[in-house]
Amino acid sequence: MDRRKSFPAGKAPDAKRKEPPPAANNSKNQAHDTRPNSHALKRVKFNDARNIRSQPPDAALEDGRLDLQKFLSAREYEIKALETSMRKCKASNATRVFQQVPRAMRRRTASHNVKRVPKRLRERAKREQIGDNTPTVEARKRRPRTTRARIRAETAKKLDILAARKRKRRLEKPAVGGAMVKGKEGDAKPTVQSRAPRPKIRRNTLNEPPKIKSKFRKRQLNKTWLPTHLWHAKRATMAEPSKPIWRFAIPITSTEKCYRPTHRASGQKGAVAWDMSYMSTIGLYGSSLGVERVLRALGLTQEGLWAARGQKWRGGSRKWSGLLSKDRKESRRIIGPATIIWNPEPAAETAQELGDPKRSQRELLIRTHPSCFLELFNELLKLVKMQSPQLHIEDLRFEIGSIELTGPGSTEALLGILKPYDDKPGAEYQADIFESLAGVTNPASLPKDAFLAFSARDPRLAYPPKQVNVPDRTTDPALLETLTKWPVEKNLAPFGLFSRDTRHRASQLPSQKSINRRKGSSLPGKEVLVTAADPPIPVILLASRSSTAVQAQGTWTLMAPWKCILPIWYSLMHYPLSTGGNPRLGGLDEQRQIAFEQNVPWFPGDFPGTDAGLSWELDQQIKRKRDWDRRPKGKRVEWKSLDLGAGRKGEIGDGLACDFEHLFGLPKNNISGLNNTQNPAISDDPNAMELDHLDKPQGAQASEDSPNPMAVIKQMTKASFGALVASPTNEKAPNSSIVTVTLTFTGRGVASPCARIYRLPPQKSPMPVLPSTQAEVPATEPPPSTIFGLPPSDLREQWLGKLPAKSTSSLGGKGRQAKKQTSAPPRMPPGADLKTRKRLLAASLLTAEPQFPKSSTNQTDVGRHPLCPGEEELIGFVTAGAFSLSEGKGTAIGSLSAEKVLETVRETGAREGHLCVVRNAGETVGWLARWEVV
Amino acid sequence: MELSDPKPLANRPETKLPPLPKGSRIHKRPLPSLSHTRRQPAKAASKSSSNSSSNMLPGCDLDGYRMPPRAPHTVLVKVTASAPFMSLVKRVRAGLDTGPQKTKGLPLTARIAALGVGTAGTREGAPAARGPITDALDDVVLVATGRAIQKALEVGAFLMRNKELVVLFRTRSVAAVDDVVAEDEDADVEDQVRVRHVSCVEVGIRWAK
Repeated sequence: MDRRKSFPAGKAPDAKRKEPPPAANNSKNQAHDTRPNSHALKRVKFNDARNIRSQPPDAALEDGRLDLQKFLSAREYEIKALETSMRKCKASNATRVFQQVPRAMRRRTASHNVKRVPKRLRERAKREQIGDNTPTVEARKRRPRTTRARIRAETAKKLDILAARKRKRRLEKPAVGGAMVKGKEGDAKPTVQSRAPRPKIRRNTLNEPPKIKSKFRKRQLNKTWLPTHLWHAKRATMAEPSKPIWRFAIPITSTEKCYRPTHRASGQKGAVAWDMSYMSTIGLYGSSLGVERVLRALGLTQEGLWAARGQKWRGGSRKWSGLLSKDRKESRRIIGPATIIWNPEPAAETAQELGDPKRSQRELLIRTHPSCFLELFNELLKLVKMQSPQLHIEDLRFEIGSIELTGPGSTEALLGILKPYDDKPGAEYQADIFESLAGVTNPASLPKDAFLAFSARDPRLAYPPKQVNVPDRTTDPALLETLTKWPVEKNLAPFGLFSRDTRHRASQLPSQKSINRRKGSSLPGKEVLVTAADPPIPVILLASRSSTAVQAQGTWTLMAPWKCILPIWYSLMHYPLSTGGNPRLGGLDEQRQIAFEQNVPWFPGDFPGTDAGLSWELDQQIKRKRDWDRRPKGKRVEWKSLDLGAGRKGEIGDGLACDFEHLFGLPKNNISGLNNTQNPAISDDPNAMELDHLDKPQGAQASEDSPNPMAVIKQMTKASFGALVASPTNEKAPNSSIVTVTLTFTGRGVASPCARIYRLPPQKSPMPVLPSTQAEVPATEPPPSTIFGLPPSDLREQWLGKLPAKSTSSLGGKGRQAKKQTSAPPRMPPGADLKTRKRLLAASLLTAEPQFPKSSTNQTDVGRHPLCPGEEELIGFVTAGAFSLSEGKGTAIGSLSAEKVLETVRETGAREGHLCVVRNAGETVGWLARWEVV
Repeated sequence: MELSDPKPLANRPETKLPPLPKGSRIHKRPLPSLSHTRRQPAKAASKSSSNSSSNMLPGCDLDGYRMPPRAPHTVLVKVTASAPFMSLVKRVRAGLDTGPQKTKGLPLTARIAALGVGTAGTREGAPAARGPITDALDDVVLVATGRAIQKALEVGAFLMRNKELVVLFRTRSVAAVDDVVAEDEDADVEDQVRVRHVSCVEVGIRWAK
């Protein structure tokens, strides 16, 4: 039942709304004298609609006896009255337009502005506002108040005049030179054909962003727009103009106010799409031996890749995705994630030069994240120049754009917009395979590292996209065969996306005008045929599995020439999914959140041990600091006065940062080389902050002189950490290295970024302490083990007692006992009989500690919750944490000190060693969680 | 009483999967097509699978069982073992409520006529209700494999109490794809792929006429 519409009779919610003063009405609004009248009428209508007629129950009483028939019919009448009232309320204008917009569009700011509601409701909103006498202001017509605004207005006026003059001149021109123009058009064929200029791609240097229309040039001085910028700028919150992210104007989040539909679209039904054109692509060209040496130096050292197992990858039918690293004196430093694709060799050459790996020239694409692009590019440049014969690299950042898609409808959406260029089957083998993927609902069900490369038609020819037939192919053996055999090796030819000419041709798509003309001239309902004027669009479709979980959604990545992204995007956003709706747009926040919900670390945010991750973290610190400063003093966390219990005061380290400096005892901030001598790794890494040198050319010099102390922190991969754990010798982890972990809370708790992670405190006394101090020791007298400034000695048992019963029972009898005694009296079981209830109540009365007098706050516990372990147990920080919609509880991703974690796991075993306590920055209560290396 | 000529089963013991090679493990791929909701008529399916080299009939199970076609509006709810019971019930109810409105957009006379058909349909539908329902034109289908089967059956049994609903239980098998991957990343072993058949239960729920 709709509560909003079934108010009890006579209790109108708009009773508060003031009637306009009658005097004012008479004097001012002579013209609108119908208004108060209409208002009153509306009142009557509302009251009538809301009035539910009822009969008093005693009407059914006939001299003390109940006439059942009368009674029932009266109730029936009442129910009917209720229903009619509900219906009438809905019909009578009981809700305002602003209450009717979809949930995601609701907003409070400027809700008096009719332009903020969808077009279909605008007229009604206008009428309502006139009825309510809402003052409306049109910003455009407001008198400029500041000097700057006045100057702007004046300039706009001047520009207006100029534009009008220009328009006039243009109108005059054809009148004069009309004959000449006609003569030009009359020429059947131009005598000299010139090729449109190809953009220059220089070898071994960074390339310029694409040449921008002069109209938009001033807005892109220190950043580049994505190809879909204008579309996104209207629908998403973009990165601040003065603070671009990775030198791009990146959509951060959709302006829609709900995240939940996006979560649903990413996992259950629908699709989410991102314009990922900001991802950087580097081309690597040269002899296959040289390429192998370069890639090995970048950390692709697994022997399998260069032997028979990697044959498919090197042949160009599989991709490789993983973390690239660079060599530093003693250790390797992770650069960032990358995807590497080889271009297959042309068929004719393969036969001749099969045995000669030296002479065969190969081409590779390396797709990486923009935050680590420069680092990788410089590293590649160095490596490439060391080879002989020399290889070369090309910066293809603004040549190749990409779109990412996830969700069950993603394959369907791609099938709907990408049509093979050649209609007849067999023209392009991989295009046929792509077409046969209808019915796949998860890109992760393709083989690992699979991808497809083919040429597609201009999607605008078939705009608006139509729903593709998705047959029920659960049992189709053909699809099963494709998915298992993945026969892409047949007719493998070099990919179009690698060829500069093909890319350039694809960038010259016919204008929208000409396509419209062709559409207009073709019969309605007929498809526009592909002509020679439509170039094929070379695309590469990467299917990736992001998570290790079996049913987790994979991701499609569509790589296409930069200029083709926009038409593809328009079609994609209008594709009608078979499950209803269109693909949703996603921003940076959504991307991170979806990765978070799949328990996958997101680069760069969750990799603070890389240069890119470090600069992200520093940016976040500045942002957090700014937000904190902005809050009034009474409403922000005062870090110094935080009471951690047992006499400990103050937050550990900086509360607004994942304070790894504090964790590793590094000097705070840029105190430069003097104090850094105890950490030799610092001098190893003079280029650590080189990353920013594109952003701040002058600042680069300074940062090289005094690198951030955090730059010595190294990221450790799961494999190397696993090897350390498994090694029989007590090998130590490298200095100040961190591992990325996912954290799941065993019970309650939600972590937020910067939360502190502690390991469980060690067993203090050799004698098994009775774990019942809390329950039995009178609170007036402090427990013997508690010393001021130190947490109680049985803290470990207290925390272990917090483990939920299921896992405790498997831990062994001791743990279970501890739980039984330390925890609060057990809950009443749901089906208990009176006897049991009595017994339990008596037991709880006997064991419960007396309520008064209360112990001093946070001395031995925080409201019966164990205290946080001491500062020496700090092992790391949470980099991303929230309530996870996929888990239904809080999860987090964090980074732990490898050294300390290794020590703990070796001492206490894999089970208890993986337990930790997570405490949000600025809070006193910690929660028990379990970590897992990712 | 034994059958004289038992039909050979495709998943008979001879076709048992070989044991896993040493030093490798299974990585399961997601089950195909379980989370999709709307089905089209079987026309397209037969066309697309005509190029299949397999000797099996198009659109058939490995046991030679052909799935009855689904209604295009069928809402498919994938059941996981950890899904809360009431959440599933609510999803089913939502699916039932948002079913096709057959009279929407029709002129008034047609709507009245449709109403008449509805009342007559109870009489016409009676014989269909008497015999077993063989089609799969459900409004909502719960699909479950493995541990989730129990949950799907529980939800189905719960909804059976509602007299206005017809609840049907069907079984089928779903082909799941497994990757056999080497545990050691450095090892030079070709990755294999194998197909495993998983029992699957479908609980079809529709409005009784």
